[in-house]
Amino acid sequence: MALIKIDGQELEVKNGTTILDAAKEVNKEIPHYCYHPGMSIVASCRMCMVKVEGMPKLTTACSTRIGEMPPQRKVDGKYDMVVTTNSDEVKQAQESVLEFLLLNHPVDCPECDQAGECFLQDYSFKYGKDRSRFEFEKRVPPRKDMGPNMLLIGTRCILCSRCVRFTQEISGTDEIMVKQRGYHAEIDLFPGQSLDNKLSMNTADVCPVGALVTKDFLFKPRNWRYEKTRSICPGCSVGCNVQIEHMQEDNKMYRFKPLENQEVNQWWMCDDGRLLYHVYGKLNRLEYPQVRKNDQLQRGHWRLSMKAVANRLKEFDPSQVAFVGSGYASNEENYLLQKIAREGVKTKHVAIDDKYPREKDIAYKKFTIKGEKLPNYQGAQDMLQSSATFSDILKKIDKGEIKALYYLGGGPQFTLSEADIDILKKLDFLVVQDIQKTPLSEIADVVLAGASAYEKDGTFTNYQQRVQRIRQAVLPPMAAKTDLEIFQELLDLFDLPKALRAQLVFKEIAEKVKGYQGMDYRGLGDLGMAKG
Amino acid sequence: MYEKVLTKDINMPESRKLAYYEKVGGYRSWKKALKEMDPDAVIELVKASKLRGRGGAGFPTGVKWGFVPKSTDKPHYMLVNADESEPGTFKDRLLMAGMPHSTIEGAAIGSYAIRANTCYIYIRGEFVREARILEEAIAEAYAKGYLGKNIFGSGYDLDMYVHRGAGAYICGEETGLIESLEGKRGWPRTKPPFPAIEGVFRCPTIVNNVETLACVPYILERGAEWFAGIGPESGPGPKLYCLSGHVEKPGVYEDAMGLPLRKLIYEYGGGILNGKKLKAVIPGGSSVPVLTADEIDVDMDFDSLAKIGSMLGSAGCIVMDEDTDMVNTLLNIAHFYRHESCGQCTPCREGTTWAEKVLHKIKSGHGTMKDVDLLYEISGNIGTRTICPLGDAAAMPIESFVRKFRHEFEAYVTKEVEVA
Repeated sequence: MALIKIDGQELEVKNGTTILDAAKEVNKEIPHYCYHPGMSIVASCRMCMVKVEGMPKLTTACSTRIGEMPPQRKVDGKYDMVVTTNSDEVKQAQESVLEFLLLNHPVDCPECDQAGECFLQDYSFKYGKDRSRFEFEKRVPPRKDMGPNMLLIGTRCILCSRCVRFTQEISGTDEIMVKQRGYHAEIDLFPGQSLDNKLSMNTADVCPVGALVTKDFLFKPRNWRYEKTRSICPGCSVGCNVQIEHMQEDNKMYRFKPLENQEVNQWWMCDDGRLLYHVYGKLNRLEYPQVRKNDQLQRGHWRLSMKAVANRLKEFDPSQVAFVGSGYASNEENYLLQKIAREGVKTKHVAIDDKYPREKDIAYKKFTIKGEKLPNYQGAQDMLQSSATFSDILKKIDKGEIKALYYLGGGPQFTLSEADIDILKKLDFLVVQDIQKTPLSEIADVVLAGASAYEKDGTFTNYQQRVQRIRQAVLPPMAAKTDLEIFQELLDLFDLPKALRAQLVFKEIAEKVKGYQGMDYRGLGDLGMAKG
Repeated sequence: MYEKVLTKDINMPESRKLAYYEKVGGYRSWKKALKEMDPDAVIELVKASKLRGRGGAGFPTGVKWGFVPKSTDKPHYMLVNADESEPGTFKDRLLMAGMPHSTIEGAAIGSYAIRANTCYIYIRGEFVREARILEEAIAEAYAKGYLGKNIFGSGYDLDMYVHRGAGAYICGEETGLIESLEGKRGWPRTKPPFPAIEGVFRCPTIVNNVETLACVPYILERGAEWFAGIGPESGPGPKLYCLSGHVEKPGVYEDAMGLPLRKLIYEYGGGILNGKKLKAVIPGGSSVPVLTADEIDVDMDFDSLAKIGSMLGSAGCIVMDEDTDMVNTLLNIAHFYRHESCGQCTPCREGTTWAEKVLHKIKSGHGTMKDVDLLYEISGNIGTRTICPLGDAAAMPIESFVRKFRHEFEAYVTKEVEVA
């Protein structure tokens, strides 16, 4: 440990801590552009300069590490380093770097997507001058189409090289570089390359200005107009922590950004996950419950539809009824599903849906996209507490052993084959609780319109056995309900106690499910917790 | 009377051949090092000689060698910095072209001292002829067993390669050179780690200037005391001075470290061209602060020049006569540093260009007094604020020209000078 002083404030830090990180510990923000905690330190933007006592020049806070000094080199006999971040000399240096950065900057904030979350803008307000002394023609590097999802607006670039380092160090794909030298240096693709790796949109996140922008967010409403919800990406079993930016007024999502979670996704997420909300947006969503009457699915009333489900299920011998849970549904939903099955209907036929293709993992240098596309397959298995699969149930349906099925879906894909559908047609009674209209919902007796992962609260358990909270960003469409709400009705109809909120269901899970003991819904916090 | 060492035989017709070099005592030091000395003894000897780097910074060579860790699994590398690109500097070129074996021998001894088995000579891309001469010389050395496996039966292996740069000034900065050698852009690295700990291919590396290494065989041959006795105590030894500009006899002159600048200009250089008066001298390559005619009674060594606010640098002495337009000269220098800035650090990338534009404005007669101040301020915002010394190199001339010859800049503003 080293004892240091930053602007008169004493603190102890571990040996090897950078000044920038040490300052963070005492809530001092040292402005910086090129430094990113996830990548190598180049110290080239020169924005983070601070004064260290005993050093002749100002030094960069991002690259200067603090270490214990021998007694004779300690300042005032006890400090291993004394740092000043707010002296006139430091302020002058910061101001001059900002002036240099803004010389050629177009200051096109009014049409820049980054405005509002731009470090150049923020620091200019905090540390900059209010006018330019540059009276010459500005440099105009061209706009470049970098790849399917990325656009480079060269005029805004401050050459921090974060994007280049990202492709070198995180994705390992090396598509982009700094071209030319000095004043003419600009970001460009290597000849014949396209920034088309599945992590490409992270370069927009690491870009501290509005130079690298995603085509998805281009010219969308201003970023300060959105509500921001912390949740989990439902794109695969990694469970990347995300910020969903959405609007209440139109109940729409506009942008996904990764949030830092060192245990899960560090600072990154894949483009597939980031753009997944479009896939969900294009689904032919189920918007209300439907009940089959005269061989036609007809729009139903929620309470009546649920009554129809309960009444019909009670008609069968429990051994003829099966429940299939889903890796797209939350832990709480899967838990309630099996509870209704085991304690309400009293059947032992509880299974997990295994009828979907598994892809191969895509491993980048420092980030892996899992081939297991179901965000909560692990959690569903834990909750359902059954080794049976949908495939097993299908065999039993084919043999006529199972006559009624309650199917829980929730994903954007439909992967059952025609042969599967033919088998399912043999059922006497089929309930499909899903989010989209599929060949399966078409043959159901009752269709219950549920919610996607973006539309509900709950928990997912990722492939590393980490339990993380998902949060509702937007509402389910029209009369669709969250799956938890749907289950409330069933609990009631089977005379089981209601558990109105995910938090309450989780409390029960923490009491009853192996691996989840002692967990607390609120205690999961933003970063989640590993299963016991 | 100083007796030449480095360039004594350099003008002989066969001086670049191995046979000639051996005849004048070449490679005896190399044999001596391998047979009689262990690497640490070589380092101690060079430390005792007080040899300081001739590339510009003047860091003690033996001390630098001593920074290489003794216990490491990684291979060590010796890099010879032959990327001589500083305007006004042309001494290494002469050494390599005239007597390449002294550099090769020095580099071999240095490699042995730091326990490196590989040595790269990183040579400026434009030095096509010198690269060829070096390659021929290295081939000769291999053929004679001075390089290669198990040299003189000592069990020590050394391979030496010539690596040509692609013509960037910045690749003469040691970490820029290392990046370039690795096949990357010549973007200097932030230090620490210093190259001696983590240099080329992330292995311990020493980068030495050609002239520095060329001194080493003579130190082994004649002893550290002999070397330390030449010139000033703080930085002794033979020194090559590059004299250019408005003098009667420009060229490379060898003398002891600490040669009076006046003597260099008026005795070696034969005075100012066409009998004109002296206006200014840049003593150490275009990057160092300029001296006025009144300041030339100074010795050309590290400390003496530092004392009067300039630097010995690469000892590239550029002489300017009374007719020299200092605004134009500075524009020329500013243009060079703008062109050679690598673009990595903000102050250097943006500042060098801005300064050049402001200078252009002043020179074309559109400047104001504010522009002169601005120029001065820009230089202050570049200097000491960058990763590598190129920022300082770009800032120091601007700062010193404007400070010492401000009236000439103001003359352009007030239109006392007729604008072309």
